[in-house]
Amino acid sequence: MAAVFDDLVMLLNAGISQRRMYFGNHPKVQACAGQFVQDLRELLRASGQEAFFVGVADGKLIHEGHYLLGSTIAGRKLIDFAERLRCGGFLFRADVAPAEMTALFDAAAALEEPVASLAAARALLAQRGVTRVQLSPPHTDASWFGARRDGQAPWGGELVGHPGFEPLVQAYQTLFHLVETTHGQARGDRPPDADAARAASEQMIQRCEGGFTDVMQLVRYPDYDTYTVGHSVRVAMIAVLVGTQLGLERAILTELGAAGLLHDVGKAKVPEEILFKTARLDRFERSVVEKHAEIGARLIIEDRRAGPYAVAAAWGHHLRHDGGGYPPSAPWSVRSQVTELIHLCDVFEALTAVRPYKAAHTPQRAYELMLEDPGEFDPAMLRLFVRTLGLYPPGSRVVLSSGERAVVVAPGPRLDQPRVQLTHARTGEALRGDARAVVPLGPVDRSGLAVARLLPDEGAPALGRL
Amino acid sequence: MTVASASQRDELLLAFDRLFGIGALYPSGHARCQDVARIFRDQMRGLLGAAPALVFEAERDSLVVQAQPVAPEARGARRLAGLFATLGISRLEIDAQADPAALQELVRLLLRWKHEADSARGFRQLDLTGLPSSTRIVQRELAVADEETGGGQRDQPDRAAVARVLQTLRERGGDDPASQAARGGAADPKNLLEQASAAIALAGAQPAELLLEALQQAPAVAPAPAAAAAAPAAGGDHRWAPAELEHRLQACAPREAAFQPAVDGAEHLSVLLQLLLLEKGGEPGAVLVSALSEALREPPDARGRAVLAGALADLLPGAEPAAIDTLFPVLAPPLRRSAQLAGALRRVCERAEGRSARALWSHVVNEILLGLTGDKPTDVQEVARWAASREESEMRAGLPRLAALEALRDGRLAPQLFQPPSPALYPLFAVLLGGPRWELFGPPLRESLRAHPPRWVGSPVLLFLQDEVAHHRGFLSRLLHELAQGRLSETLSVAAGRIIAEGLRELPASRRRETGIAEAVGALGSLPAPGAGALLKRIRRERRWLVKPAWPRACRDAAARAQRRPAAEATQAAAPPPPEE
Repeated sequence: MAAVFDDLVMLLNAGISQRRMYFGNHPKVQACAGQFVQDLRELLRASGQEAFFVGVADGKLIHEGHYLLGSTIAGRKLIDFAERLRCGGFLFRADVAPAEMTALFDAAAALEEPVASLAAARALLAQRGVTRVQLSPPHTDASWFGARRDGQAPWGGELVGHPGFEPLVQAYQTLFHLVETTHGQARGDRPPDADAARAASEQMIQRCEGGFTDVMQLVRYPDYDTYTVGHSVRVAMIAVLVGTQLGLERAILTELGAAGLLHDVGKAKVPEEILFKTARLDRFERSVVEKHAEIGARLIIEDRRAGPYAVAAAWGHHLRHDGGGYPPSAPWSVRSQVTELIHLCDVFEALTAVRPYKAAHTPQRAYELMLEDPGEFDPAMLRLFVRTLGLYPPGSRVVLSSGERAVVVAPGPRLDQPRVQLTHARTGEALRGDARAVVPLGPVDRSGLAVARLLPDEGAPALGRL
Repeated sequence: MTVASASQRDELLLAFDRLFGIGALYPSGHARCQDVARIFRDQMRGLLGAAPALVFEAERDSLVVQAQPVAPEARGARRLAGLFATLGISRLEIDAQADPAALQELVRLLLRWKHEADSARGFRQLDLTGLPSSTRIVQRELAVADEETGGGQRDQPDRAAVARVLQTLRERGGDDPASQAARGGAADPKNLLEQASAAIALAGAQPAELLLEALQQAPAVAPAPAAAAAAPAAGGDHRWAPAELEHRLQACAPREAAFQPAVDGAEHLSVLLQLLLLEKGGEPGAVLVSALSEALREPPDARGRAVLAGALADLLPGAEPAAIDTLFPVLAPPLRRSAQLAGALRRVCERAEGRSARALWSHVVNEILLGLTGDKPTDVQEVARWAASREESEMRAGLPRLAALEALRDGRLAPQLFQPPSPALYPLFAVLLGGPRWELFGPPLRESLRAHPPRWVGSPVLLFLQDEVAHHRGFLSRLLHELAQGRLSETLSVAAGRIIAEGLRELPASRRRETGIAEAVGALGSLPAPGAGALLKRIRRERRWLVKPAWPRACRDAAARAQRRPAAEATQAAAPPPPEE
């Protein structure tokens, strides 16, 4: 049941996500709608039930009356949609048709502001011909009691403490949603919202104030289907990480992050049969792909609030230091180190991420490949970039020479000597409390402790299905 | 609750919070944990008195202890409220008799669940079971509000919950009626519920506890299946040792870059202008032009000016007239008074032809009139030469457009244009004198030519030109035109002679001693002006009161020489000098 629940919720989210990027009659949207209906019918047939219910309350998914914890990015779109509809969940009847699901995805993609009431939400769906998906009223708490019952205002404070994984995921969701939305807007020739990109970037920076270790663990995971979106988020994160290590001011970091988020927005206009083609592109296809830098810059400029960082990053992230690359450069053109940084992040991310046509490289191999093409980067900038990230960027999980496992928290004095936090003993037992010490590797270390190997990324399976 | 007990409650909360703080740092059973657990237990018993259990309740963010709400800012309240919210706990009960070991186990489990919740990467429900018997947890039970249309969704939780109750009863109840009911099984939720109610009623002493236990037995939801493996090879796919990588980095760059964290205006301009370059041949996009204007609101620095100058030279030659009219007024003004403008315009002019050359003429002339500058004088001269060497008809066609640009529209001419005027510009001035703003050019040109007269016998004519006389204005224009060509026509000489003769005839006696008058008289000997002979005779002989000559001696002498001049000499004297550079 749990796996089926996961699958159905994933399909709902994927449908909403695809609809934001494509038209309703696009095969990807249709595929989500059709698959959902098929899975739903199988589930209901097996369980003897007539309908399937997904609840939403307090920003979480509800299953059998209880929170589903860790719903992460995958559930976010459905939760957002339910909140905008002011409902407590969706009841999917067995006889719901794929066309109704497509219409539901349409509504999710189109609805940007909350409706006035549940009744209005129901009317909205009815208007779109969605009759076999019913909206439930908001949830009530069976164990309702406390200050509000006494007529007093509920506590309006804010939970604080160790941020944990969930807030980081929320920040990631915001970034992902922003990029996804901007790409969807770009398909419709609408410019990306520069202020929204800044706000998302600001939120990311805020979440990373305690360090990049956690958030960088989110940076790499398999997401073939939307890798252009994930790629932009990851480029932004790497750029902000490098910028932070270099001590840049907050305002510049914000612009840098926003530039990273928007740098590939032009790819939204590249036909996906070319964008996702795994075979070698022919000359025409290459020329189409190469247009994305120009298209992206044009789109960004359309929002008068767009800053020069985003414009420059979109235009210049494929320009080589030797004057090559694309778009073709005029002899009088100039390029800043910020654009060069985005270019470095872009290539580094592409090399260290999975693509439909290749496996991920380690950071060290990525650096080797970057060095092997001498005209691609400004050598001094490349050296700065490598030194700033190190062979084991923050968030990397490593096995130490002692057999202990650790997570990298910061670069160290040498490329292969980061600062790490111990996570697991040699026996594999998870460490707690003081045992999770932060250890600077290298000459000052207690016993010549070194990184023995890089652990593979675990990834976040739920994220991969977006 | 009394004030004293409120204070006790706050201390208890603090002790409970400390239990979590220590529990996060030390393993369960550690002496520190035991100490704080004992302290908490003692405080709890002190607070409870005869009450059987300590009850924490939570509704979203609010915390209630023993039915009394706790201020959110109370120490120890926030962590507990956060824990409850994360785990979806609505009620926690701790028996007064709970021992320190049970308390430590409770804390250990809550912290573990919190960690699991925080790090969950897929959908899952937490299985809050396995608590010490002296402690109990109730999770929030969420249900949609009663409403007809939402009815169907309530079946599932009800069915599941009741089924769990029946399962528990089956496990614990043996062959009692409850078990009988449980074994009955039923697909119908209503039937299930009735059976469960009956079972609970028959279950014995602690139906509530039994129910709670059953509800806590929700099967854990398995995490989502993993996606395809995407990790790099664990052993690493690199080829060089770290030291070699470092060595190669140092070899390719002796130093790291000193990072300049700014996208300067030059780069922004560079992008916008390259985008415009890609639009060349068509109408530039309004958005782009607007962005460009915005970017140029602040004067560009030297780097920006270099970009602008380069773009100007690339963008304008060959551009459509409409594009030139749009872009020139945006691109050129920021370069005015810089070293780059003349060079850029020279490159523009050299490459422009046809329609774009015609469209450019007005803008280039506008820049000349405003005072074109450049780091090389030859650039300025070449631009001037280009502007002045267009076909006269072409120039005349460009006058209306020129009249709308700053120089003519606002009457902003650079003073150095006339100090003295460059002969290269004479053809241009000749056309401009025939344009809509004669007053801007006529007087300064006339004055300037008077101060620096061309080497021509007819030059004294400049003394007699009057702005208000139409044919005088035409004469000046024609003069500049023919001077530029290096060949003064007979017609012009005749016109000059006529103007001089008219001027001398009407010259008041008070002005006859002015500089140049004698030369004007002398010029009449060389210029074929009708009635010149009679005028010269009059100048020589005219007397006032029959005694005193009416003209000064210099004029009389000049008139005498003019009357004696042979025809050949007169013809030679009329030849114009070559135009001055």
